[in-house]
Amino acid sequence: MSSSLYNRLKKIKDNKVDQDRRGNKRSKVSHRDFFTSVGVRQEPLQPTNSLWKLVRPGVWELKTLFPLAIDPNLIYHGLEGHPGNWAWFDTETTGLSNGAGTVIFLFGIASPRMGSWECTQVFLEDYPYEPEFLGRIQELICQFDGLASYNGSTFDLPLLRSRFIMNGLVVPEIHHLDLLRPVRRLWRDSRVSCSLGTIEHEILGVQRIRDVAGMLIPGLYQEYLRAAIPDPGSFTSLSDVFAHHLSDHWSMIQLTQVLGTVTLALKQKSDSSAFEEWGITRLGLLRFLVPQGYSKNDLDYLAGLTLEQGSGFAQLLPRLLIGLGDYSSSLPWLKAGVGDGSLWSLERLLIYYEHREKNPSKALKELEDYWAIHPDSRMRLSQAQGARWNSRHQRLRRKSG
Amino acid sequence: MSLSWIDQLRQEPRFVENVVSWKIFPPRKGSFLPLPEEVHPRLKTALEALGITELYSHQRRTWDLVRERTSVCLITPTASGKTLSYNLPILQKILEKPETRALYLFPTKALSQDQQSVLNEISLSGPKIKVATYDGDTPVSLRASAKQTGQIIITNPDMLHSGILPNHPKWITFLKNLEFVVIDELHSYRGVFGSHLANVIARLRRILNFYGSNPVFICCSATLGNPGQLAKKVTGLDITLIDENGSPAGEKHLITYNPPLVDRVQGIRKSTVNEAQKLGIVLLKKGIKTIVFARSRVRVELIAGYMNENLRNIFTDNQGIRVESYRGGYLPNERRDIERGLREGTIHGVVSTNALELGIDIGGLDASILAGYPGSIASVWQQSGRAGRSGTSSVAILVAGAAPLDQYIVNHPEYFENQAPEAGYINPHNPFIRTDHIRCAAFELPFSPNDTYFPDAQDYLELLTEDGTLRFTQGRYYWASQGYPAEGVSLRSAVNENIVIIDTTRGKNRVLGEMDRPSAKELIFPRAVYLHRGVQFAVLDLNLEERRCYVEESTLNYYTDAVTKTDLHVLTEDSYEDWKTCHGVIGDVLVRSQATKFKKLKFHTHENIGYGEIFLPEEEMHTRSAILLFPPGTRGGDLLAQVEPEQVPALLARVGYLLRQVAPAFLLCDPGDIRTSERLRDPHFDLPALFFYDAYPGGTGLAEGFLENFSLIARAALEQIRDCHCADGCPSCIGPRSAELEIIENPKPSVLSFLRSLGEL
Repeated sequence: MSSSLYNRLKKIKDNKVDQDRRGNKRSKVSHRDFFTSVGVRQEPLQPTNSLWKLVRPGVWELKTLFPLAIDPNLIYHGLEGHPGNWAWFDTETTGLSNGAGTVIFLFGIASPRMGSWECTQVFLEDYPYEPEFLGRIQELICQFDGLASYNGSTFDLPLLRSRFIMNGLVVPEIHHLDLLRPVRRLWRDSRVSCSLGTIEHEILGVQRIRDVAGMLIPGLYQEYLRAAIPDPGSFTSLSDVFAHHLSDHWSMIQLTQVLGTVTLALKQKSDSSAFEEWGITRLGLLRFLVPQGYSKNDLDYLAGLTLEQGSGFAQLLPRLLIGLGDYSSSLPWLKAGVGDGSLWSLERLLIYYEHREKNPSKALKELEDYWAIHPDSRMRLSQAQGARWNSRHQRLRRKSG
Repeated sequence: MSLSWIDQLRQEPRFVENVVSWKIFPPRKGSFLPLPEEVHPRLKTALEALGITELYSHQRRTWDLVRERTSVCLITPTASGKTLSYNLPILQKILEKPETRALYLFPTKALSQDQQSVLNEISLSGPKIKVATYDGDTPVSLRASAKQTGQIIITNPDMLHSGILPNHPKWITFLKNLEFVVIDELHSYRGVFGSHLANVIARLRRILNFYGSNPVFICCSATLGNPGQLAKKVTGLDITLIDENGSPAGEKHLITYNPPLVDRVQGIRKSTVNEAQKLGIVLLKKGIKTIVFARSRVRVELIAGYMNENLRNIFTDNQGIRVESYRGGYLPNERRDIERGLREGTIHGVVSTNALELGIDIGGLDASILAGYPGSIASVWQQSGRAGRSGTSSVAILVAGAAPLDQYIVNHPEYFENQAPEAGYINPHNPFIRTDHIRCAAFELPFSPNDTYFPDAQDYLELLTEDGTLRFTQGRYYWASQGYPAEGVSLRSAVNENIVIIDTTRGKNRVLGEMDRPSAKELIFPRAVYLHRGVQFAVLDLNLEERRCYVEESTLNYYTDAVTKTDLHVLTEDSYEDWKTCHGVIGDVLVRSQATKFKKLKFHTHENIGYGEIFLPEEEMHTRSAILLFPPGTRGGDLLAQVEPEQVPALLARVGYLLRQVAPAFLLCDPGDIRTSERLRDPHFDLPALFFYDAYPGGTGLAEGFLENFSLIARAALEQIRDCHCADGCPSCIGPRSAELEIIENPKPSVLSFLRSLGEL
């Protein structure tokens, strides 16, 4: 039995070798190449120091200065304004699932420092040092009032919590802001995906050259562990990973600036040109605005922008206007919606005619005109919907005499 | 109800002339004990609302032991209040200490839902307990609250294995406070599935140890040969067995019934379906609440349909009798309605597959009709146990089918009266299964040498380290791969993939029910007739990719039955033994089954009125097989050469049947985990061959184990047939004889001499 077991295990092994081989096709980029491998708009500075320092047993640290000068007023802090001392973090892990077997091996945290930005990367040399690694992370986190991340609420943070639990450590309390949420609101309707890669490429205009794909990173760390060549302080085989990780921070910080700029432009009611650069639609702006709270004024301003509308804008805007009690402003939007064949708009318009204007015959005419122009839309209704529309029709006819 | 209706039955000549045996089991008095004084007042109120003021002795014993934190295995018959036995001490503890958590494991989602409604009912009338079902159907929005606040989590082994354990840090609140683990329907964890569960439980206990919890395990099982042993193996704990049943039972009549002969010359009998439905109607018209068990989904629909047709009368509202069909594949709310109707008495008769055999609460019935032998002794007792309430008499009638096995059982009623129920074997140390679970366990927590929960882990850990899955450093083994190992390990042989059946009659677009994929190919192929709760539908299209089947109401006068052919291809020969008696090969095989045509069978008469073609891709399974070859020059081969060629397949089939009955005891699996197939001349080897293959895709080492233990298994088979008292074959040895299929008088001597030749390698 043992021979066949061995064969079966060997099969698993062969698969892995294949995967590794695929991973090796990339060309190598050294850590030093980082600033030339990302096409950023600003002129890059040389890293101040590229040697890792041992800060605890098995835990290494590297600080890199980003030559980014960002007006503090343009830093996006979410809805709560500026709660104080903030940092931006990201992790690299040994797997892409967040089950108990996935370990964080690289943690980065970036914050403004003397007119520029500094990113501290913490690296786990091998599994047994995880408690010290997490201890160091905790120390770093505690220096800040809040942490921002990209997709941290579903991936990085739960994983960080799991790691603390599994090492018997107290889970630190983290005040967290996930940048993915406002990004989704702004660009969800106009981008295929809101992954950091897409946003970086399409919004920030960054083209990474010779970048290691995120999905290959776990394999590279395993490879580094298996090779077990002691090169403390340089970890050359992982330099691509470190560079990738820094690039992610770079993009995240730039994105923060874009979000801050959009927030400010909205507040100042700038004209459309302020948003054109970022490819934002009016729908995106409207969605971005909703959680912040809005007035009739804000809605009028958005309605007046010359940006692309975005599908769904013509429904969301009147819905918000009605929510504010401004029925008359919603009317042109509803009428336009009905013109486009929207049943939702029709229903709101009928409610307006029937109950606000108390003019059932007008509603009846509107409804019958609609059925005449869109005869097939009735076929697409479910049984319950059909019944609802029929009873509305009956009622309007009755009321109109 | 008085005895009178049973006496009436005795006096009906058309019934009695077909009765082969009639055995009466005397009534049993219940043994009651008072409710423990300490029972929480709110729980007491809830119990009173359910009419419970005292406990059966086994319920009280469970209470006492569980309160002392002793793990138990409870084995009492159907409807003896097993559920309350474990719910009571658990609810009590939760009321005393609300942070207490309990985990309930059920083998199927349907049973989980049933349990959830039982607990909801208790919760409604008294204590407010947060109960959450956590399985593949749980919406994401409810998952987080289940983890955080669910005091009782109801789930299945598959979800525990792939959802909960690999994400244990997210379950910290639950796991830290876990005080009870309930494993209900323990008898369903036999064979490979049970071996997997034992490993999942070891992983659970390993994680619980990490969080410092040590829960009490409560196992419940229906009829089983070795409940204590199975519970011990599954949980890895010393378990106290509670097997004295304190619930009362009325007098019970067990009747075996052989449908009358319609053709004495050919020995053809009336159909089981028609006889069962007629008996059902006779009983229902007497006001007897009746359940009919049928062996297949189609038969369930046919019997229920015929019964309703016979009862149909608009003037008397079907004589006030309501009969429903029940089987897997109905929508959950349809099933709930039928269950409620049975409990509340608005439904008088039900026709079901073995779906209603266990667990699900349908209240007491008076008669149970088994349309055909259900395949195991345990099932006979379970199904007949569905009839019977305390204080009244009940009847169970086993209506034999035409198959040799049915005929044997009905003609030898002493066979199942004397036979102990089947034992459940498992082998948690099966190296294939063990490797999978040690990988999963290493993902969950790093391994130290001398792990308490996997004491044999060392060899596996070394192998997995060598292979790069794990990393050994500073005395511990760490998970060092990228994947999520539980994803690639399935605890069951069948893939849990369902086809949704959609009714498109008159532009409707309504989900009618669902069906698993392999069955769909045999039951709802295009142009098939699909029966659903008495309504007939014609299948318009089966889209396997989208997992949808479109049907439309129809009024045809026939139903359909697919003809399936199974093919076996040898892919590899990995090892070859040339013994003197026969040759033994281990290799990969591809088992292909395909429904190629279907029969159209007329309703009522069941005559074949035509054929149709089925064009569907075949169902494939790549698995491992042990192959016994009988070349000339080996003792087995020489013996086969002397047998008439047309007798060879039958002889090999009988040997295969026997080996399959005996092997589970050596391989620690269930007969359902193994399949056999025989060939007069296998095209790959060009020799007579007997295949013995694994029913799990990829194989679980049973084929290897079979060859390794072949001399032992062959010897045991020889002893089994030699010591069997039957004259010419029975279900315990070479299988019952089928007079229609065999010409030779008595197959036993030839099998015996063939096995003698194999016995010594």
